[in-house]
Amino acid sequence: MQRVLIYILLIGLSAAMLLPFAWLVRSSLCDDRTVMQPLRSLGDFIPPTVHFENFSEVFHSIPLLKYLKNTVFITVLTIVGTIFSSSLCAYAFAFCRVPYRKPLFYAVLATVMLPPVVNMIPSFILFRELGWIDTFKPLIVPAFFGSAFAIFLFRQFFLGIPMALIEAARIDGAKPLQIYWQIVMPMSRPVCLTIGLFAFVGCWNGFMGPLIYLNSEDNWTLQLGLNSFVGEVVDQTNLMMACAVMVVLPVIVAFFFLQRYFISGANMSGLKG
Amino acid sequence: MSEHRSTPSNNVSVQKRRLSPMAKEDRLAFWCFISPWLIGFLLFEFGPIVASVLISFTDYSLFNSPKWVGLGNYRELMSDPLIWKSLGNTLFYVVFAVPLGTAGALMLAVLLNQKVKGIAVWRTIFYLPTIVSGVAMGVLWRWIFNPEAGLANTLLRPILRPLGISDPKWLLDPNLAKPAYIMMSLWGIGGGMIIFLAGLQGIPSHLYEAAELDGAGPVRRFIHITLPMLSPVILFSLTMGTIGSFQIFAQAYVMSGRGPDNSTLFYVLYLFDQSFRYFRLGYGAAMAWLLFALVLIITMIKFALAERWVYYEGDA
Amino acid sequence: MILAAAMLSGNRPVASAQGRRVVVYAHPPCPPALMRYFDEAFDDFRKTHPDIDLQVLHITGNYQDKIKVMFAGKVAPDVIFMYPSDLAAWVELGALKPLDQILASNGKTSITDYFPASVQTYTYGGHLYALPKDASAELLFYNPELFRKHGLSFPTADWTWQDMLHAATAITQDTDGDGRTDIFGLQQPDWQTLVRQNGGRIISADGTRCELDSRQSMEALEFWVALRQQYKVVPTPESGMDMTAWRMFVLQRAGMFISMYPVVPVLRRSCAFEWDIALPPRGSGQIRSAVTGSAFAVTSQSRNSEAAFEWARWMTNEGMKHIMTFDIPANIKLGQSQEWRDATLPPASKQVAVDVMKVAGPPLQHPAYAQIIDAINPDLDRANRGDCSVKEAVEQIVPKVNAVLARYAHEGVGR
Repeated sequence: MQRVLIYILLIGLSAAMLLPFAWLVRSSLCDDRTVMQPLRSLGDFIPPTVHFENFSEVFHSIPLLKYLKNTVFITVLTIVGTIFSSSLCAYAFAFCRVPYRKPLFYAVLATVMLPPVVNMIPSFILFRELGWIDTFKPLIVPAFFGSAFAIFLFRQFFLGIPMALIEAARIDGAKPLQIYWQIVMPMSRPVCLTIGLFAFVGCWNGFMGPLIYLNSEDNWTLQLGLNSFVGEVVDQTNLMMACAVMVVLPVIVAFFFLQRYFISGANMSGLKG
Repeated sequence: MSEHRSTPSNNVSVQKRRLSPMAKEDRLAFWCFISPWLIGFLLFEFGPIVASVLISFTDYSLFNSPKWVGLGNYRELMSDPLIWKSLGNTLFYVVFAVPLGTAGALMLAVLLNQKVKGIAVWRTIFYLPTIVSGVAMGVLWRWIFNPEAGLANTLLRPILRPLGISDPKWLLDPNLAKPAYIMMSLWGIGGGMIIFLAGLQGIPSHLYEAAELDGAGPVRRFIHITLPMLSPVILFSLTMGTIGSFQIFAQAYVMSGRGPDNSTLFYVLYLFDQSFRYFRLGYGAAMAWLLFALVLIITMIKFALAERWVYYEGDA
Repeated sequence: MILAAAMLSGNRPVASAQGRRVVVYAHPPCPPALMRYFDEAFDDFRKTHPDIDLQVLHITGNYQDKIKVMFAGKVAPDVIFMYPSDLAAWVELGALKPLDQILASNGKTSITDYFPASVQTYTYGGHLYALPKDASAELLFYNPELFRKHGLSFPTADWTWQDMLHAATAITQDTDGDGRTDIFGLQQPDWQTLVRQNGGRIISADGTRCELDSRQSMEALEFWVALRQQYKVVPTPESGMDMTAWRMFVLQRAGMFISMYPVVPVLRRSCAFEWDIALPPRGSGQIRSAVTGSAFAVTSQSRNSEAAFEWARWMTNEGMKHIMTFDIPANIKLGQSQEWRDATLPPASKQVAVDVMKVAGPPLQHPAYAQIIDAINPDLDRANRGDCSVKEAVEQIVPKVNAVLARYAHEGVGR
């Protein structure tokens, strides 16, 4: 009985959750007239004619593979940078017993409390002075210096690791870096994966950063390419949607295969060791 | 706190307490390990932050050099009715969206941590909406909330009509526009779900096994094991959710703008208008620091309260 | 400190390696289907101007935001796109270079080559600040089939509001008898359009007070609300939501709408039925239409302003040929050329798009445009929803706008 209820709940909720993606797919298959017509009934959700050629037309309209290459480059480096730098900082905040770690931790958090809009211009000027405009550096390099979101999340997970484990390793003569790399990180696979996923999606879907820092079309990311189907008055909405489907697909596939690492349960807690 | 514990008791020097080798090592490790963040902060964030503090004391139109006006911008904040209106709108959103989003994400994570068939598919489906965001979605949401032909009303009509309630106008109704945004935000709970799922993996299964032997049902196990064990992650979710929701901007920017009667004029939307449409970056910066102060206070209170309910296994 | 110093300096190459003058042009969001026409123009310019290195910055999404950030970073492009309502603020803040002198002395194009209404729109404080690209102004788009069906004659040059209302009433229909209107006569025009047509003004000529409470303005606003609340010939917000003017028209659910020439490519692509354009109807004033066309401006940060000017000049003349199939040239000669009018694509009455320039004027030009409109809209929306009378709304609006104006007079824009 409980099983049945769970499945009913899951099916109902997932119908709602599928809606945005279903809408995306639907719009990507419309012709340029249907795509902008509002639906008058649910039946209109299925377009009268299906246009798979929208996908090939995207490739004819914009150099999607070039944008993909740029985006992958930025994303991979961002993920690596975020995971390593942030977990290191979080280790310090979780395990190093120094009196000033709390205020410093608040300082880390405080950096995300200021709306980014405010820092847009000073940051732009800073990166201009560094000669980084129209390069990937403003989008990548900061990731190697930790993100407050990731540091905070790592810290919360690290604090759940039994202190006795760390102390025992220290008594055995392990140095902090060894403890970090040989004990803490192996126990933190789910959270690393989570941080990686957030960094991935944030980077993949990032728009304002690339818009402001990248100029030449050779450096464009997928999101900038996607937006090129939108004009001041005239849009090619169906092509934009087709492009969006292609942009989203790798993320879905990656998630589908990675999610199983969340499944394996208690052996992660490390209490066996 | 830990310091005097590690101070060796046989240390004769009273004036200058020497640190134990371990504490020294801790100190060194601490600075080394946080150095990436510290350097990054000094390099990339400190300058812009100082600049935005200075800008908040100036009139800065973006085209011309800033002109010092002292506290002028801050004084104006106090008398600008739209500041309070937009702050009210934002608070309303935060108060509902954050707890609902956190609770929803938690429930979903618990649900999808069971042995359910096709778990990969379910998890992917619930995570999907957080990936499909941005430009493409503005049209979808406007359709969903279209009072005549939209999905929301198509589904609600059979329930509301018999009760004699006319179709809600959602984004066109000053009272329903914000609730519509709160509903929209719930499509994003997949992100929180992932974090909680990761958190659930850290709960040793022997705790559940022991509880089961004691005859605890699923509800009691949830309350007495899952909740306390997840409390660090819940604190994370509430804190980051609050910080993020106070900065709600992009959705309103593409969807309804300021909305009927400015009912969806959220704080950062107004800040953006002041900075970039009215060319008043100084005022915008002052607005940002007011928000900063508010969010900081709320976060501090949250952390102070957290001492009572957040359980860190490491401390035990 | 470093930042403050950095704010005052810029570093962008003035000349490229071969000693050619660099001109950076920021192109607004433009989908690939239209972009290829512009690309042809860019190539043509590069061929005919070997001494100028034209670098195109194609900006997708938030054009203005990107330009503003570049400005603040002292790396603004040389040539940018400008729209009528933005001009005053940008000029007032010193972002644009006046172009009258260079236009007078360039020997290729003169100010009289452009439609006077366009020139007037991009003139502020007595100086011309941008070269008009297209002569787009508000036009009445209509669906002849719906007119024929109800035995109506097509809109003519001497149409009044009453004629428009008469036609709209006839076209408005509940085709399936469910009590909800399915076809509307008209898409509700912008309130500014009607105020202008009736000889009303938002701001007094001396810029000191809001004139929405004048007889002409009030009449126009009353008519605007009545179209929805009393005559019910325009879509209610419910049925009209998420349907920009042309969407209802494209669906053949609106018989007429007032919009500008840039929607022409949209209609060509989306309408399988016949459609045409006419002059907007007249109220009690002289001006019937606002210039909406865009223009090229040379930024004050440009170090090659002569080369930048040449690009803007060329694009509004010779270069215009590349994009004339979907644009209406602000250049009189081109606008009146057979080449432009003979293009077989709709609308049939292309001449109207040129004629309208005789009854068109600039829209509101005020450096605090955004604040003024933001101060007006919430209350006017209430009147439009039927939550209050126009009179009550205007009583609320006038002091708010006057406060914006007083503030502007005292402090200037951006303060």
